[in-house]
Amino acid sequence: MARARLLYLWGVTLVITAAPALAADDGANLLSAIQSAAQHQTYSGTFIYQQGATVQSTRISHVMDASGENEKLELLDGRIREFIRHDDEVRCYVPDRKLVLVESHAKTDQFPALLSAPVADIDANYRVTRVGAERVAGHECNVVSVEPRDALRYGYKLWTDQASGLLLKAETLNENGEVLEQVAFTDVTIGGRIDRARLKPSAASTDGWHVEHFESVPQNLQERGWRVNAQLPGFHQTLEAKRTFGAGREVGQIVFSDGLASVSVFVEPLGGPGEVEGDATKGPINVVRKRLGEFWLTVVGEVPPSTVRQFADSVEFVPPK
Amino acid sequence: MNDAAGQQPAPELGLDGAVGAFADGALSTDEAQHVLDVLLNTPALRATWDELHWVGDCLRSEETGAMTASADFMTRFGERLAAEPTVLAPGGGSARPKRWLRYAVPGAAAMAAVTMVVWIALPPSGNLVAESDPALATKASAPASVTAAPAAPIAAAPQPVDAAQLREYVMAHQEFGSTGLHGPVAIQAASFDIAANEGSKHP
Repeated sequence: MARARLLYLWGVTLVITAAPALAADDGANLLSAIQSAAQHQTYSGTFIYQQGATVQSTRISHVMDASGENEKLELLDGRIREFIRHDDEVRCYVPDRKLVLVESHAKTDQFPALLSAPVADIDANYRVTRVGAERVAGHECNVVSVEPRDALRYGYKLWTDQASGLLLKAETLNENGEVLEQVAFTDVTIGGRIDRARLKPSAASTDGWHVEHFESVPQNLQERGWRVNAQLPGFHQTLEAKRTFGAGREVGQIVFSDGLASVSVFVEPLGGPGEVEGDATKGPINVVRKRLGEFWLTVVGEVPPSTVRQFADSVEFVPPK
Repeated sequence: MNDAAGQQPAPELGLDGAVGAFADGALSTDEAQHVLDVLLNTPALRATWDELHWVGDCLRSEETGAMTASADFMTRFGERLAAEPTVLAPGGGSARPKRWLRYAVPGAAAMAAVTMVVWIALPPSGNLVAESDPALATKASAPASVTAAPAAPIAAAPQPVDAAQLREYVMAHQEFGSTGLHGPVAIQAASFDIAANEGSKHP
């Protein structure tokens, strides 16, 4: 067992040493490998998310077994919140309300995972290269630069554990190379065994807690007359949905993604609160709000301001016949 | 840091009322800061605040759909709604085209529920401020050309974007859009709260 593992490590190291510069279409493979490691490895530890002056700590425990993926996320700052995931079902435990929220088809691309699905044209929009080796949370990592090929998206720097392939750190960078946000393990144990009890809710008993189940139903906003005409390279529509915001406002959401960066276009009838045209920035998040005839648009994305603006300015409403 | 002592507490509302107005984003920056200060130090008001969000997020699809909120709170909440109809249905007028919404009724509750996962999971534990964050301050933009219909003239003066308002969009975006590079959804949402709050302390 130990010997096999050593051999595996040696093999991985050899491959990496032999190929410091990735081939042209290896970006997609590398990002898929990060996703695969996040799904299949056993690991536990603490990671922090930092943006501006904000730091949030989270404890994670993750096991893949015959039943599938099992993961527990505990927010360590603020109120106690635990997210226990089995494959794409997430149960959120809210002890101060004795409440369990169950989401059956949650996204599975959250750190240290990366992509829900392989993105074939990632290499057309990003130049993915190995730029060195550094230590993160006590583990030797490969440092991978994910550099945008145009000004439509931000760049990233990824640190992947040389032994397991697990993503241990990620930075989002603007066009000047400044870090807009980062998420990183401060401590992580990879491999070994994790006591099953650590994947259960911390509450001694959840008997009598209220359980809410949710299903999301996609909505076809195009049929309802909405067009987002921006033809920005690499961005594909990934979702159309209906949301309900404060005071019962129904809002349509159309999501576009290039695999790493995403933009949401929100459309709603005029009349919501705070309708002020303009734009906003917070770390990597950019927002444009504008009126479109009798409707109100809000476009949000982790992309440069000009990209959000291009999406916003391309939205069109053609009343269905 | 602002000196809270110099700020006006919106006395005509009473503190519960002020919390409600705060939740609606109806208070000025100074008033909101004052309510926040009191809110953070008064458990009963924290409960009111939580309940407002509980009601807003869980029960918003039907104003009468009382579930777990206390009876007297629901009474007060109902009174407040009756007194402030414009909060729920402001502007628009009869010409407002809503046809596209009608096709989507079955999904609306479901999507509201998904949103609720994050909202309830991350109640604004004193971090949400219904006022502007300088980091989120809008730059006044000229009326952009609109493809389908002419834009109405807008005020020329720069106006702050309501951080609490943006938060709903940002959270909804992150729930369906963001990848692992931006940290878990829960963390992002929490950080957005905190960032908004930080902004409010340093206007």
